[in-house]
Amino acid sequence: MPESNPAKTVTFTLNGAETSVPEGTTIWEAAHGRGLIIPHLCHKPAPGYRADGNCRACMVEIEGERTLAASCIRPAADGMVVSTDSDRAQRTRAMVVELLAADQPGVAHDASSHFADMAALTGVGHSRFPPRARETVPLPDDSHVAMRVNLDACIHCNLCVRACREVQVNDVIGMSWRGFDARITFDQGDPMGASTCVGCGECVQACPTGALMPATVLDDARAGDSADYDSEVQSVCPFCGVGCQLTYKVKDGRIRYVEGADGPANENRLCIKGRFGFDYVDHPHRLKKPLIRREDAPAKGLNVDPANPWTHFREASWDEALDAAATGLARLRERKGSYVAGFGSAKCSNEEAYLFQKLIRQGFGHNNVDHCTRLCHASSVSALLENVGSGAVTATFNEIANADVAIVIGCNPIENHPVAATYFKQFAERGGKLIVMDPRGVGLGRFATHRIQFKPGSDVSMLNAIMHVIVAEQLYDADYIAAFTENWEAMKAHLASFTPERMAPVCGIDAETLREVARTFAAGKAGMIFWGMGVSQHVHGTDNARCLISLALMTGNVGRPGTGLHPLRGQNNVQGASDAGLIPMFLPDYQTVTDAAVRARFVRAWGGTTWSGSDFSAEKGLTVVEIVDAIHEGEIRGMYVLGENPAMSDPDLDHARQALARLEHLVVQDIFLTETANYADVILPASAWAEKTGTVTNTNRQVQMGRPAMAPPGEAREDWWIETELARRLGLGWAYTHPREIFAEMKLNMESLDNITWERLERTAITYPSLSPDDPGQAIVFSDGFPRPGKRARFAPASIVPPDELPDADYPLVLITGRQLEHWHTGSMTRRAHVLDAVEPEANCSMHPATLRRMGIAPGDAVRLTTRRGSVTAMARADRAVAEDNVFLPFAFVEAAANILTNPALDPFGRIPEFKFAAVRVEKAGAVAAQ
Amino acid sequence: MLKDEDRIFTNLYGMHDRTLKGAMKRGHWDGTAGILEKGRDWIVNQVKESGLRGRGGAGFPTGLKWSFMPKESDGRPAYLTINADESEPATCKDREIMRHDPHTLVEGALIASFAMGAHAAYIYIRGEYIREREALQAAIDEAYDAGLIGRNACKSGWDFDLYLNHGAGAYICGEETAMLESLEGRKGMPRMKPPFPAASGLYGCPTTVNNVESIAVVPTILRRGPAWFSSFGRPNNAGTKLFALTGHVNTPCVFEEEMSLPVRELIEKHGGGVRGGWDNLKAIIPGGASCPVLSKDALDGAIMDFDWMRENKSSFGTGCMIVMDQSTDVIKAVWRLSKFFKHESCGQCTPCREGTGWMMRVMERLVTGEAEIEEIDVLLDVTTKVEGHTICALGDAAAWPVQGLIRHFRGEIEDRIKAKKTGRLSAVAAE
Repeated sequence: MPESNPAKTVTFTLNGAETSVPEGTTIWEAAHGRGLIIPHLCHKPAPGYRADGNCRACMVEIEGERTLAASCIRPAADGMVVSTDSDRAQRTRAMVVELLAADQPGVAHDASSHFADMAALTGVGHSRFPPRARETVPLPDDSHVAMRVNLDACIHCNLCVRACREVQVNDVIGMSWRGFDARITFDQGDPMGASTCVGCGECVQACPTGALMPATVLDDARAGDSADYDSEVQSVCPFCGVGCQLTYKVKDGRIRYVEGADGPANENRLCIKGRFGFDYVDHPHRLKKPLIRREDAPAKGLNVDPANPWTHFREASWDEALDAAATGLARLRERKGSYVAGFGSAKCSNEEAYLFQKLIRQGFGHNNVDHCTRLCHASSVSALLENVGSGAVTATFNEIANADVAIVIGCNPIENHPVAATYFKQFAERGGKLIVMDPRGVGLGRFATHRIQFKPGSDVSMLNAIMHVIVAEQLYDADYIAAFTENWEAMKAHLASFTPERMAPVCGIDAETLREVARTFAAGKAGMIFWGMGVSQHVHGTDNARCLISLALMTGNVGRPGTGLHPLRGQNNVQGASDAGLIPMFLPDYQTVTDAAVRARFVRAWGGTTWSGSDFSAEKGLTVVEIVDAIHEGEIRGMYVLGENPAMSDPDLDHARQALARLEHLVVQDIFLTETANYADVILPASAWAEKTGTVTNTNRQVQMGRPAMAPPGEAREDWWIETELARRLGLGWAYTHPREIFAEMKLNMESLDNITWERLERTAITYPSLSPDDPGQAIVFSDGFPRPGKRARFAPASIVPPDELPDADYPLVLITGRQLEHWHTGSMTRRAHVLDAVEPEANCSMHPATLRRMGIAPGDAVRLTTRRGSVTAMARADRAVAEDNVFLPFAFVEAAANILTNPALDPFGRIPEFKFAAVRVEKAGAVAAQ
Repeated sequence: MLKDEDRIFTNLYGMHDRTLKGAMKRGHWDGTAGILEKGRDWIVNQVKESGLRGRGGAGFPTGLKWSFMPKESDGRPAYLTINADESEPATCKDREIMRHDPHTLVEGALIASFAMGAHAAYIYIRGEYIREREALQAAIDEAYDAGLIGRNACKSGWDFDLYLNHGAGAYICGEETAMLESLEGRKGMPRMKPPFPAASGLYGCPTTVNNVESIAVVPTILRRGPAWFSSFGRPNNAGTKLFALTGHVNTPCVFEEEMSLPVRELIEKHGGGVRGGWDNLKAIIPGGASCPVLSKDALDGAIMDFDWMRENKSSFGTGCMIVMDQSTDVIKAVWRLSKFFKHESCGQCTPCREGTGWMMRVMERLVTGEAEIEEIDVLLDVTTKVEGHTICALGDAAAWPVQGLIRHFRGEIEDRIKAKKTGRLSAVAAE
């Protein structure tokens, strides 16, 4: 189709009125903009949905044309005379609805469907036409745990096909057969639940008839009503860092169902977790009252049943529990302030993260406060801060729409950032060159132009070889390098020896492929680089990230549309919690604790005093793994853990769990009795994300408002309230009554929040930095230099550091840990969400079928995985995506906790453990038992 | 009757050699390079002057269609696609070209492509045409081997590739944009227009879609001149044309004849007359299933060309006529067409998918007479809502035969319903 130029306007006559609209505007859009209502069924006026023009319910009359035109897809043209309300048009539209109404089921699956609205609009009450023959009516399909398929209501509008194929790019749904027999089909005509459907539910949200519905909305007679709810609450998804906006539909104090909302990152899209993973908030395991460890409790260990904690704990009033929590911490503090450390959480709000770090710093006078960023992107952040001057992404992931080449390395966005992945897939579908690099053949590889399955831990050698080619063939952007970077000559010299031929055996990718990838990326007009834990969770994680930064810099791929460095953040608020200073070396906005002036500014904002006087420690605090070690050394004797689950998430779990057991006083604040809470002395029942007010910052630097859909259960309270009460009992005199007061205090010392106010956030999401009170924020930063000396970014040469623990005869395979689509991190939420746990119910590990065959293991068998630190048993799954000498183990399953196996060796800069590489031995579980 | 020397298709019945050698002996591939030498504009103008109208059914002037193609490329290639998906019930004329006189088409494809700046042309041949495909492919291969097409075709300096694509048996792929979808490897579903293929067709590039016959006649027109071609038929209905007669004629056949002859003359001269004589004629469907039926009474002075048929609320279509004598249950005949269109509807748009099925169901009731008189008007109402409101013309094609039936045979339908109600057999059904 000829390119339309939206800057140009066309003028046409619409129902007698002269109308001017930008070129390319359809008649439907133009009419809609003028308040005219044209019925529509197959047209969904939402981002990502192309008009299709198939339902013919929006037909209008155009003067001089024999046939009517579908207004949803027909662009207005100069001089066109359009009539939307002519008798012919109205009667034709009514006829379309009447023809469809003839086949609708007697009892509507959705009494408030869009189709019902349109029938009312066109005045169709009943149909004169006989329904289709009974034997041709499609049968119901209840095979999916989260969705109900009732194609007897299907009007073949094709929206679910577009939802699945074009919006989410999963291509499970198609229209098969022809004509009157045409029908919606999953894969090869499989039941939905048996198909490759990933459960994103985009089709359910798109369906205008109730043929596809959330299971929770239908009763046993398949009758339902999507409008049957008491309130709608717009909020943000609590799972990954994409930060999808969503709408809770609340009925009788419970979430009935969830729809995607038009947030800047997700444009109405959600994944299976975000749409169907919410009933954990109603789970019977929810903590509803404060608990105190019984005097007669057995010794601390992983020995509490969350369904029946009364063997170890007793209920207490808030006053008693808070007093007990505070007294225990205060008693340790009297001996030594640093005896108490804290783990905050990236699952809570910005305000709560801020309060937590403030509590430790102000209340205990030191910086031993950290959270799960340490296990996540600490190395990426340290490389970015070092070389770019800022730890956040330089561009939103949505910028890939403007790119023509992209590298996605060490991440599995289809499972871990599913909504971001939809944009990556769309990029590939429209011809973008997608380079997917990962030791596993991750799902995104199916969309890739280049699929690079390199050896685990060989990132630096591979990336250096690619950069070597760019230097050797002079494919770099000399102007950019001269204007915006430093240390180029050293970088060039460093790369000289990393020839593809030398690196090929190291990384397992042949030299010619390395050259081709280098040429492809360097030839792009606009390129982006995305990475995840596969890059960061190594002893050379910081070096890996340094290489990626250098690669972007030398090709000039920062600061323009379609370019940028984007570490895909894991937790919903890991960006925000890090920004809020929940890290041992930095105060909010990455201001170093070693700077006295910085500390003074904060102490001033905190009312001028701390527990230790008018200042707190100038020493960088200990990180997650270091804190665990310090417990073993007796340097730390009490902890306040909010929403973290180190008894599942830390490397070398036996070591970590022993540390927790050693603590003299452990206060755990969470929504469930987590593995960590097993070791607690006091458990404070907190609110789930759907129950609280607060802001979060996603991977795109977008600050968004979370709102409560319901009150916390029982006596559970919002985390900021608990923190405040605890602080008061620790003598800090806090008096916050609402998160907005905390946000206002944060703004005092956080430039990143300039121009971002609570009131604005109530209305809209804002990307930081926001340059003015009405700037929606800068999607791309560093167009004119970097926040470093001389405004220059730096090339940081990286050398090859081998993984800490290499395979040997005893432990011959490489263990890689990670996540699965359905489960979130340690599983405390998602394993209690019935849809998610039903879809992926069992601890599993994946190996190449050839490896399984060699070991005489059949898929489905139980296998025992053993490393130097421990062993677990899980079900084996055959997966060609895993290399033959690798094992992939998800870490969400407490019954086979992956981190019992992982190596706690740390990256020297990011202090992040090497979760992605451990030497492991695999045996058939039965065989071991028989010995 | 058309004189033998004025026939374009001189091997319509396969009596002669269909190879390249035979075709050349009959005058094809004669001076093709010379024709190309005269340039694009000359060719397009000659075709315009000849008055050739598209032979696939719609009758759009061919030269005018060609002139819609961009003169200068904007970087995109241009394509010619030739619609050989001849699937209309009773239409079987292109088949004779492809299996017996294929070189007319291959030569025409080269000249037409050149005239539109296309270096490649695709022929989309009907799935059931197995032997026809083999014959056509053999002709294409011969032409390649002889250097007539391919690189530097006919030593003209023009590179030209011709691809033959075999359909999979869907009627809808004869719709030009559904054909393009199918060529691109997708399900044959018509596209929304605009954009029209000349702006964005095959693979999003400027494309012209022509019928086999429209292309195959071009070399002869250019060799003999537009005046020769337009000397046949009435103004605006120029040329010779392939016709077919099927049904209740004594000698069903495909033949080449000049345009604008009386319907009766065609039937009597070429079809050997209606079975049982002219007075035994009940109705005709002039040019393929989609053309409204005409009763015998309407055929006084009927002329077989575009204009007469349009003026008399039918359509010339492909010129392949179905003749029905008095033994025909015309209601059932049209029901059969409704069933065909219901079966072949692609299902993409509502009025066609739902409407064709519904029309068939009501037609079923009219056939048995188990209906109410009022249903005739509801049926007519539906046909007018389907007509002109679908994505492609299949909806129209399904609506028109029903409209024609009601227009010409309403009395018979009503009689049957009344007879059913009173328990008496109708006159027709009794025969």
